[in-house]
Amino acid sequence: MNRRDPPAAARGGHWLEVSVEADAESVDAVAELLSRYGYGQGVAIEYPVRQGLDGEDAEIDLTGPLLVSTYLPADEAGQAILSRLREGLWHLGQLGAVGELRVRELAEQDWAEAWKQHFPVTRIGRRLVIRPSWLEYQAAHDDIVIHLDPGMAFGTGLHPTTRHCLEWLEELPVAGARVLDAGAGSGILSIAAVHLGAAIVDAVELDPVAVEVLRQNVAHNQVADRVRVIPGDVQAAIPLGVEYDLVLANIISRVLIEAGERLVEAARPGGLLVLSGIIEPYEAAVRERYEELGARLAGRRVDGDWVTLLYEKLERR
Amino acid sequence: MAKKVRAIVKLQLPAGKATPAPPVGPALGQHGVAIMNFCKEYNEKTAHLAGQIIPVVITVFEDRSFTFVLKTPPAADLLRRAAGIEKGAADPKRQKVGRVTRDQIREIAQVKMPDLNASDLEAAMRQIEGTARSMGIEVVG
Repeated sequence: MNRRDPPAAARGGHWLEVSVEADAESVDAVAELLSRYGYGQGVAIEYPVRQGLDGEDAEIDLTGPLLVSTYLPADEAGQAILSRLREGLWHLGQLGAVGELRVRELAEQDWAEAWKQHFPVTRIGRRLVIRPSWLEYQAAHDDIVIHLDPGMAFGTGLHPTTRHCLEWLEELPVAGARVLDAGAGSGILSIAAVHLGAAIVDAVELDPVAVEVLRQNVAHNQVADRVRVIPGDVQAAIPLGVEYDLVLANIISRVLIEAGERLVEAARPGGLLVLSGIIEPYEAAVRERYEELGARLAGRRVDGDWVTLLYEKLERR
Repeated sequence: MAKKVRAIVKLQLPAGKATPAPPVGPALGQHGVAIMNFCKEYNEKTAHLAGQIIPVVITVFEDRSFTFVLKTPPAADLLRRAAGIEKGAADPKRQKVGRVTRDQIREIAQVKMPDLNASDLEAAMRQIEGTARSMGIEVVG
């Protein structure tokens, strides 16, 4: 990487974070000003977010205030730049709505390694352990260790919906089972299923970036011989003619309802379905749909707003 | 998978040159994003655009996984190039540092259209003109 050396003070690891609120109209001008003075011309803009209860239709809310930030070395040079920046903002304030300048000091250790604290070695259920690559872990005798780094696919094990599915996996009869992982994300559930003895796992994922991450994780955990990665939409991509003993679907209520028929069809009579990503207000609608489709509620897990349902597909009548 | 959004952050960075230094480190680190992972992906996808500022909008989910989309260069960057200047005016109300034509404004508006919250090209042009004024760039012709 051909990057410039950071300024002297920054080499000591101390920075000023300079932030100002702007509205949608003035944000470009403020960002331009900050990029003129900020380290490496870099600017960060934090947007207010509007989203459904389960994250559906998430979008930027342009009616709210946007926070524009840049970074300066916390030394004399930085202080001189800061006063020029203040002046520039005052001039911009004559032309549009610009908020107060906020300055706070940051140390490099506040971020350089700090994000890793969000990803400790995580034990889920009795035997499953998720280990990020930068941490050592001495596995106990019957531990099942999943190697997983956080990245561009959902499913780090930190979210209640993922955790619920892993807990069910550990309790259900997975040994020798044919498993469908619909909306596989990072592949965390597929990998766990193989380690728990699944004969074969079909992992269906729509997002092409997630598919790549999924492939890497499957290879890295040495389960590629038993996980089939299938890119595509949940409804269309589920292989026809396979009857699964266990269907895992950690998606969202709307998709669980829309794809309900295909998901239930994919399970063998007497097979099990784990439905996750359901937010409590939508639970009734999901339950109504699956009962209509000939499945019987066999279990339920709740954590905060999130609900996970276990269904058994009824034998053919 | 169920993906509830924790934050949406836009970074304006020189293409191909993201590092864990500011702004990437502090802006993403506070949301628990794997910083190196982001830098690698961004640099790979923008290497062929070196020399330009390529904004990127990162969506961070509740479980701290993330996704991103690249955007068109900032209007200010395009205006600077069009006007052939290094930087905007310190006092844009009185100081004029360059000029662009209406046609250039139109071209920039067309490039930026997918990323602007504008109903039509005219509205997009007005936004670009506003940015030009705030930089001390005159619009002529």
